[in-house]
Amino acid sequence: MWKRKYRSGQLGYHLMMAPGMIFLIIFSFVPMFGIVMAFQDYVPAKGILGSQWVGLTNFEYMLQIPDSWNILRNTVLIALGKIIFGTIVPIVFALLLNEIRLKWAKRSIQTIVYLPNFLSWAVVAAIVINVFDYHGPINSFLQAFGHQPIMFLASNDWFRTVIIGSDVWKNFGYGAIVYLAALTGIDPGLYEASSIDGANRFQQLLHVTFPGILPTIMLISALNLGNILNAGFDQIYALYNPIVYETGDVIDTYVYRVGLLGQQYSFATAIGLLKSVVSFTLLIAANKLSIKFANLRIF
Amino acid sequence: MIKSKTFGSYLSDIIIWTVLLLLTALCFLPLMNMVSVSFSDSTAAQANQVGLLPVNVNFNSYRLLLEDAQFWRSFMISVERVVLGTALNLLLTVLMAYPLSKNTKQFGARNIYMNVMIFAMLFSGGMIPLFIVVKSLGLMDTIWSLILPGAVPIFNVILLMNFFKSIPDSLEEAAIMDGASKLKILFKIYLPISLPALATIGLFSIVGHWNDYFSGLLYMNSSANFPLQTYIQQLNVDVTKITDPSQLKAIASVSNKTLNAAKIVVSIIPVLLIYPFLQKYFTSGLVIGSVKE
Amino acid sequence: MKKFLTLFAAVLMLLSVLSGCKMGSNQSSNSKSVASPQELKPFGKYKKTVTYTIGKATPGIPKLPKGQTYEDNAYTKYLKDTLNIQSKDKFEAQTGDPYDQKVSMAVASGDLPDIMAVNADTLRQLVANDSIADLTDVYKSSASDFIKAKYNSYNGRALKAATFDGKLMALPSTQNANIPTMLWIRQDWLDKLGLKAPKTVDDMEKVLTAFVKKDPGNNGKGNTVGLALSKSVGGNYGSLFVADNIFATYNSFPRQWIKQNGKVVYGSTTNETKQGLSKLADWYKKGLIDPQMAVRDSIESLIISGQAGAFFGPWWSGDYPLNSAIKKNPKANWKPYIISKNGDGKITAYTQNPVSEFYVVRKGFKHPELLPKIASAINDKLVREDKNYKPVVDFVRGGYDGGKPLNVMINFNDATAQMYKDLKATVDGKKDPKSLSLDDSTSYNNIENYLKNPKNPDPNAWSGYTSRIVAGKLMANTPIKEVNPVFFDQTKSMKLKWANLVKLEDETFLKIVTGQKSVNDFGTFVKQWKSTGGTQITQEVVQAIKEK
Repeated sequence: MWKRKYRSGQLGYHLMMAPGMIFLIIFSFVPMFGIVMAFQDYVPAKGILGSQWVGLTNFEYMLQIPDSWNILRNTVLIALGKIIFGTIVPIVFALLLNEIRLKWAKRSIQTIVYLPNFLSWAVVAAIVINVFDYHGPINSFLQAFGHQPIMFLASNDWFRTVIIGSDVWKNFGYGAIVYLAALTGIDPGLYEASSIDGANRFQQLLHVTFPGILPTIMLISALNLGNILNAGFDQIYALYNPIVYETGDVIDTYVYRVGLLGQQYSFATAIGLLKSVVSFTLLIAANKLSIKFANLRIF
Repeated sequence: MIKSKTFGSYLSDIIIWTVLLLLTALCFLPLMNMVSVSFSDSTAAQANQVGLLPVNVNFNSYRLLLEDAQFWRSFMISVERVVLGTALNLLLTVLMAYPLSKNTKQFGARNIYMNVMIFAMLFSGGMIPLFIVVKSLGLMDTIWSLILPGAVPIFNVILLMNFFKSIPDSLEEAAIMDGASKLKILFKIYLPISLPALATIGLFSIVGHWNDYFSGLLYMNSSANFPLQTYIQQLNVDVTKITDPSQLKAIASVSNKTLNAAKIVVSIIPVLLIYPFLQKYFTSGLVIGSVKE
Repeated sequence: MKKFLTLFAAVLMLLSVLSGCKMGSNQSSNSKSVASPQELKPFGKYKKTVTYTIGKATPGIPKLPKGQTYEDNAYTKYLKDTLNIQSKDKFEAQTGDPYDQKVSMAVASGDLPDIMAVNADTLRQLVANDSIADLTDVYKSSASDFIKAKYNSYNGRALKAATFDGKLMALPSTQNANIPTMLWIRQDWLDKLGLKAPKTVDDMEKVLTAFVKKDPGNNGKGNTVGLALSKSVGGNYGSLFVADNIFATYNSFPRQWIKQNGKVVYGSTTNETKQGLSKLADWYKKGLIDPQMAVRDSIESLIISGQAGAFFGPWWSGDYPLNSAIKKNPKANWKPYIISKNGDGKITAYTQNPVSEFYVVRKGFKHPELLPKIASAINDKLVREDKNYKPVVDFVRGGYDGGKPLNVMINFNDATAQMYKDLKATVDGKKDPKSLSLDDSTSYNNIENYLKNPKNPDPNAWSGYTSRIVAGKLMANTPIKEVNPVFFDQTKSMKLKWANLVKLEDETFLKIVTGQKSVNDFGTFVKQWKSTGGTQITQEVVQAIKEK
């Protein structure tokens, strides 16, 4: 009796998974045979069956690029910066917004800060360039304090900072949505209880609000870890120039420039595969660590 | 929540408001600039002389935009895509998140499914094989080519699954006793208390569909079928690559900065409207509060 | 359930794999035309309408008259009327990356349109894979004599690029000569400061110094830019904002494969290029070049806003970007000048690749002669015999774009100089305006308008006159010592190594010019360039030239 019920329950769950799994099989797993292109010299006209096998040549080539380590370092530094600040800023913003009681102001602020997300980097880049112009607001400000103007976007000391900063600025409003949603899930009773205990606003924040959204924070940061090798092609492509290649050239911009010389699908696929392996490993590790230390299963 | 406010509380209010307003202003600037450019004289815009206020205000670009049939056609295609795509995304997300939110004792194959999905999220065979699949299914040039390949937003499934996990089993057990089916439990018990989470992932889907330009480029053979962002993407032309006078007309037609700005501004209006609408589902204390009582 | 899914997946996978390599197998069938001898003639009309599919490269945002589409417009109507043929778009995408993307998807899925444009790399692939038709015979039978004459004006270089093992596999679009590029300068600033027009590099330096120091445009201290320059510095043939003229005075031809003292070298690595760079670095240091050139987003904006006093550009700079500059400030009197080594007006310049893109016919298409026929109709009959064809005249006059189903463009090598000569003769009353081609007669109207009111011209009239008469004259009359680059193709090692070498080159050039690297580092650059693949690629280039 119990067993049958269990089984029928299992079937119910399987049936619920089925529609989505069918889509995943057709549109994710079937196309995955394309991964073999990473081990070929793929020529579109010859198709996958007709293209020549080259083994690990495409991967070996990555190591032969004279500044492959430099490109890798730029990618990781920029991506890491974006992950760290792109997590902290939205959380702080969401927590601050949560302190506001004026409903219309809360909603308006929320709506405005999420708007930059909808402008493409091609558009935003023009604005960023103007802001950092010699005669732009930032340099005018510096000059008012007697500093020399700085060409931020052509400075290897500043380029990554500007990239991370402008990315955080563009996306924090959108990133905050998930935390704002999580904040709504906190039991108001907890606030009442703590205020009866005499906790002030800051103490409430620390002992009620923050723990309330901690699972969401851990979940989002773990999923973001999967982007450790994605530094953001559109943004960097729109903002970089040859002077800052040494600090700003990342995997994706490099692959793009290689691709310009002809359709180099194999090389791009090999890089993509490598990125996937790294992301997959990191994500699995993050999940394991999270289970072990926080007793929280992310997925 | 009426309390006697202390000096410290006032001070923190001031700090909070200052920081928030500053951040808001920062985010408002680019849009303000876009709006100003769209209302400005086109040579002033080309000379990069439009900042936060329009120069020689005029409505020419909006007049031109009204006449641009393809823009509005693309606009409607995007709307259709958002409606259909989000509906399908939500349905599949909900259906998958529920069984996945169970532990392995309740649903034996749970971990297998989960790992398969994580794998699918991170690995891809690149665009050529996907293109061939879409093509051999006969989806080219149909709205379905924009919707079906991304039908399962795995990131959203994981988010919703975690949300479902926080709902206590006790709620479900009562229903099981009454003999309710899994589907009924999901739709009658889980969904009503998950509105903030659904609003969030719904917004993610809407935004994802609205912003995506690449699948339009890949799967639409007729440019009349381009969704809005694919259409807008065509406004970016690199002038330094032009070496032939015969291409001059093409630049002249796309380098209309004010018209382009007007297009971008209009393309943002729908997402500007949808967010406040969804915000009403972010009502505080709805979820766990109702559970605990 | 699971079995069904696995089966489904397997079928799909099979389908996809097969379609990936379809073309190799079933399309090797004979592609002899089914046209009658009459229909094979260049302008022979078909008895029954022939429908052909194309890959349509669009200008992006549609710029067609109301009611017309890419498949039904003045040009498709013309082709229907004259040849009884109708195009159907297999795919449409904006010229550039989006179009190339569509082409490679079409190639990968084995589903080619009957006729499409491809780049050199794709052409090689298609030839190697035997998926396109041999056009040798149909070119002979169905291209008009005028078209053949146009191709021949490149001394065989144009068609040779599309010939493989003696077979003509594509019709290329030609790129006619557009040199020399000129120094465009603010004449009103020169006049205001009482300066003479520059003739040599040294003159130019004096003029730029005066512009920057004396601020004749009242831009405010430190806001005037002497020379507007692109961050690629040099080596892009006939384009805006590069300093090729300066480099050429040192006999330097950056980014070109040239023969120097009998040896094939890459122009960017020569000692002459070092000299050119060092001159530009000197100017940058003195503040004569846009200090923000490395990060400048829109160089045009500097020119339109009136901040910049000079730039290098081709003859058509009067149309773009100067048309907007005149709209913004009608007093901004831009004039083109030639900078030469000794000031004698004689210059050296490199020539360009005579072909830009290649038009190919799918193997198995029953009417391979359509391509030469369409090319002839558009580039011969329509511009001569039928130049008064009303729908097309209205289309061009209305400033519309994107009508031609195929943008195959075949011009005489000296087309630009000829344009000037025709227009000049017409202005002088030696040629009947009615005999002008459609494009030229539009220009002629602008020139007439300018001449009626030269003091206060309409911006379009100014552009027409400045580009085609003022700059056209300079172009036609400047004696040029041509340097022909010896290689435009790609070699095997370039596929993966070239991107990195270009990166090194771009970085070094820009850093040297902007002073972040010393000119003395040029030697290090050359050494590194050679050791990271440059030497090997040079050998391959030498080999490839031998084999041609």
